Amino acid sequence: MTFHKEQLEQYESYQGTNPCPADFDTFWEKRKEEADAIPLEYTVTDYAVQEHCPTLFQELHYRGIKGELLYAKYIRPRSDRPVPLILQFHGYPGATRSWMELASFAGMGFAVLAVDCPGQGGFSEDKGGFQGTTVSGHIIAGLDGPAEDMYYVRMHQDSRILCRIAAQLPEIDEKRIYVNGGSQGGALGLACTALNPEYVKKAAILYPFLADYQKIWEMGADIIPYEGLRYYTRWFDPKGERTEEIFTKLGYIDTMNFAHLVRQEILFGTGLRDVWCLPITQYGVYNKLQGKKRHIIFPDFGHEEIQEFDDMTIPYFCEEAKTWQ
Amino acid sequence: MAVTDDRWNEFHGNTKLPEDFTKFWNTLCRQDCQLPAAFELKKRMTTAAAEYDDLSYMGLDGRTITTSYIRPLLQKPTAIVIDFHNTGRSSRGQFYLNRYTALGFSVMAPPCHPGITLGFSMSAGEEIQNQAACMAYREAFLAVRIARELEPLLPVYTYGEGLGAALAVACSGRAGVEKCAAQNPLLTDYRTVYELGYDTGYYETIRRYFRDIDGEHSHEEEFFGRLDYVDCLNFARFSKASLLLGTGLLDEVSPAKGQYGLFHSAAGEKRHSVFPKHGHERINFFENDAMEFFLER
Repeated sequence: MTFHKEQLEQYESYQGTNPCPADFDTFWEKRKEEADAIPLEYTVTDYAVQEHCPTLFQELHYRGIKGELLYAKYIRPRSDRPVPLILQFHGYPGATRSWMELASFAGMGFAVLAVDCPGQGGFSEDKGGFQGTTVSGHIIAGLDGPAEDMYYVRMHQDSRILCRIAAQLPEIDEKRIYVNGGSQGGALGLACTALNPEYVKKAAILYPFLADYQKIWEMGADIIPYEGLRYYTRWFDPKGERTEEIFTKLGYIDTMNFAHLVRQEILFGTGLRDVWCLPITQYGVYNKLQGKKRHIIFPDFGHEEIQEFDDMTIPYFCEEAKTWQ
Repeated sequence: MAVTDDRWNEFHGNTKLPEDFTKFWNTLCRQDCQLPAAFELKKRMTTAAAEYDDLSYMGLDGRTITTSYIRPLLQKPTAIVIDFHNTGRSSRGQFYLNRYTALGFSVMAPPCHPGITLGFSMSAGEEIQNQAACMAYREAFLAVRIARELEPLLPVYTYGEGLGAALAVACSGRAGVEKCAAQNPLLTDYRTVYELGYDTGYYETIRRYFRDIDGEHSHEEEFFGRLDYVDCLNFARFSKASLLLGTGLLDEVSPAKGQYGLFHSAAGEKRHSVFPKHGHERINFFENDAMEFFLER
């Protein structure tokens, strides 16, 4: 990686640009308490029953923090014993991947719960009611109202509720609940890991989104997935007079700010040609992780499927795996 | 589905079936079967649920082909899947292939012949049997032989997208192959590719031929006549397997019209999943259809 050397040296010491609100930790403790106060309400139903198939395909519906009905694909190997579980989060603004793709986890001997983010490309309901503009994406949904009502605050609370449900499922080994996700899925996965250490034991995170908003904005990368930042500041802060206020508030939902809470093991992947989630913002996240961690760099990949990283998750999650060189 | 042309429902393709197509391929296959379908397995990884091996065998040009071979351990496999990859990439990885072991299948994922993965090519002066497309089909057939050696008692299922779909369909006429799921196949109905102006990008060699060698199209029929031997549509006419074909109508690489031609020409049991607003891309919903199709008994 010779031609990236100087750049990488800069990245490796980068500590981020977006402010972290002073009360970040207490803010999230309160949000966790709110999520824990929600009575668990969920159903598991069969999606497709094939008696001869070693894998079960089911759907899990549950009530989220605002009473919204959320949807997750639930796939697991038929087993007499509890199996480990992957909580899978999807990219923006899509939906959970196909049953067939997600079945790969069952092929590893794992169950998987893959939740659709509310109001995106899947079946989960979004109760809405966000204060302020709603036309330019979910980052800024609720930015004009109380921080606790922002879209991604609710989403992280919904993830905590999902963790509570997962730990109750009799077929799941609650000591082996892991997280996997890329892009928005990496952001949600990392926040889920940070906020639920009693449930999530380790995670694989690929090019996380929702990270270091101010850096993205300053570097002009506030387009496509991050376009809400540009629209919001063009419309509501055209002279840049509220920059600190805006980004401090966004700091409550900045992936980078969750990193200092992460003490679990993290496998982290970055494609250096990523033009959406700029590598420097990913380093900002990685550098703040507090536990055992490993950063896999792919110099010739961007924001795309990175097969080699996917393959690494097999021995990473399957702790009993035996490998030969 | 207003985006389709109703005439496609009767369209059987512009591809012509050479009189000696079967004889041509039978001769080649007999010749290729003289070579032993020998292979080596090297352990790579074992988890509680699957065993991952490196499978090596010799390609028709003498190079060593190495690919993943994965077997489920939680129950005996009920089929072996050959997953053929698309253009511009290598074989699918172990994580991706785990989807098949989850369904109770063994899987191998051979790399396509290197001469055809970045673009279709057809050299004017070279014998058809040595052309890259022909070699790709022949090596796909070799993969079927290897699969049957690996799992002699199991049916073979083939899966592919794009280039992989063409190879998957071509293999559907081979002994032992019972199911084929193919999405947006390439190498299909070259005349329609040309007629609709898809002779750019992957198929640029067609435009280049006429621009560089036969500007007045004096040898057009001869040119396309050679391509008929390596047209997936012609293999589909002899399919013995059940076929699930997926088509994204916005396919910008392989014209949907030609895929309809392939579907209507295909022999045997078949069904067509059509996606009006998807193109030449991975389609979640097709994967779901494929899973259901493979699990049906």
